[in-house]
Amino acid sequence: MTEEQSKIELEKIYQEFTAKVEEAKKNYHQKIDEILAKIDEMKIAQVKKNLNI
Amino acid sequence: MTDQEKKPLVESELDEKHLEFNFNDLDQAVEQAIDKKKEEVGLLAKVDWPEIMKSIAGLEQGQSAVIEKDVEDAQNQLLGTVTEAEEVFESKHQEIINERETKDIEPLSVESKLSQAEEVLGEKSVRGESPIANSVESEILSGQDTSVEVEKTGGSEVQKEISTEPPVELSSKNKSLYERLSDKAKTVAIEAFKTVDISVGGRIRLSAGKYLYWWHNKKLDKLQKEGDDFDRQIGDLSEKLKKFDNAISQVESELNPKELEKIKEDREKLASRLTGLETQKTDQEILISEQAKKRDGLKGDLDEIFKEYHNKIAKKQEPYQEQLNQLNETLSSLEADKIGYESNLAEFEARKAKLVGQLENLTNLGLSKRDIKATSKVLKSTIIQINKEIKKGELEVSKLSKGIAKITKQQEVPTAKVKNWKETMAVLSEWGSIDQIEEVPIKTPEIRPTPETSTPGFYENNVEISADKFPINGYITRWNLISQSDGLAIKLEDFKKNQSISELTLKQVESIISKMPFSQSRVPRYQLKNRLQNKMDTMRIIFKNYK
Repeated sequence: MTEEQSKIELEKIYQEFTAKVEEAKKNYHQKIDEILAKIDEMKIAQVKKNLNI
Repeated sequence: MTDQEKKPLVESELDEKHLEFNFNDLDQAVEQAIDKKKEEVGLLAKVDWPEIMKSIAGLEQGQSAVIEKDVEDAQNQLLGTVTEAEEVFESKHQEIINERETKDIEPLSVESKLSQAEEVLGEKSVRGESPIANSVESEILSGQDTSVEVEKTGGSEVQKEISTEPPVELSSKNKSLYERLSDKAKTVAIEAFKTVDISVGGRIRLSAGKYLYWWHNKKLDKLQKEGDDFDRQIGDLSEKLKKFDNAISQVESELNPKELEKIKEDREKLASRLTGLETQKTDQEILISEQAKKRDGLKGDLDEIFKEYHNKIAKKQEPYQEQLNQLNETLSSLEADKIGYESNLAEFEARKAKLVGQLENLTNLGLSKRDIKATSKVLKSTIIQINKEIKKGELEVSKLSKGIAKITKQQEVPTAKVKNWKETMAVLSEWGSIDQIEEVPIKTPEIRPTPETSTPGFYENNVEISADKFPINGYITRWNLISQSDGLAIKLEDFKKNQSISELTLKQVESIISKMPFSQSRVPRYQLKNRLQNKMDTMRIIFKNYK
């Protein structure tokens, strides 16, 4: 393996790691969205229950 | 604390051996970049939860438990994925290191390695702007989807438009979920992203800015040291030339014309080498001057980034601080009222005790039965009245105590928020601080003595200082000394055309030069203005006594 190849490999595995982290962060943000939506639904249901709707 | 610990954060990324870059440095830099990513993720996992916890406060206990579990799952999934990714990276990295160690690898050039390290560290991409900051701010500022919040200020209602556009690109499913959220929930989500921008984005931008400052400070030091080498070489050569001239004068009469011509040729070669070195040194001074400007500019950039985040944090902290101030005011008022009631209660208790004593002592005063009865009736009635006041007072004190406990409880959230933002500011101060980086002082070029017989040197201290007459000839001669390689030399006769030379000032000379065509220039047209300005800056070092 030449130095150039070694460097390319290193960069490649770093990029792979970064891509996985970015994917995990994206999923995490989506999860937040879902949780926020769930909280909203729970609150709406609670209000409806209190008003006997 | 050890020397290693004292090193600034960025210095630990690429150390003193930066200029002699090798793979170990690159490995280390990549490992540190990975650690940074992990740290970012760790912060991200923590940063949203206070907001979410706040929004589930009104839910039933069972429902909050469900949300808390979801939150914990999301957190674990994020951290777990990153840990797995890191393990995969570590294993592959080790393979590369093993492979590399078994082969004889030709080293890359310093510049290419440095550039690669910067790319791997993401320094080039984050320089100036944080990707997080960009995405959040540009989305928020785009303001296509907005809601209106009514804010009460001094009795009047102010309508404030708040962007509810999602700060990151969402999938169609999540976009639909996001759109179903109330404006308040959307605002909470956006605020959470803003928080990430400050705590994570700020650290990235400040650390990148600090790294660039550190690197350009180092480069300035290197250039100045090279400049010192030129000085030494020029000094040695000047000394050699002086000795040569002395030797010629001693043996001149004994030599025939041919020998004398040969020796003079050798002397000219030396003089020409000296001029060449002086030109190189002058070019070096221009590089140093450019580098110093760059380094100082980066310091300014870092200050700007720091100010930006300071303002962002102050803005975030402000509503909590205001809330805290109002609560403190209310609390002080309640405590003062409580003290007042307690003081009244004590007075009533004392009066009651006195009256009870008088009642018990009535029979010992020698009064008639009738008087005792009448006095006893009055005293009992007064005691009953006082008892009523005491009960009323005790009720008020109890109400005030409850109020004080409530306000104290209400203070917890804003106090924690203010403390949290103060801590974030302290963390950012640490990341952006360049206090531990020793600023390389900019050296003023030395004025070197030049042998009488050689061509006058650029820094030769024979500039005639006159308050009203600028030495044009001296200026042009020195200008030409630093313009031999780039074709920006000036012919005095061209300069004199249409100019009343004796009355010119330094500024006027510079103005004339900046308008000259320089048809022989070897500097690209787009760089010409900058190159001329740099030369003028260098000339000002010599002609600093002129305006």
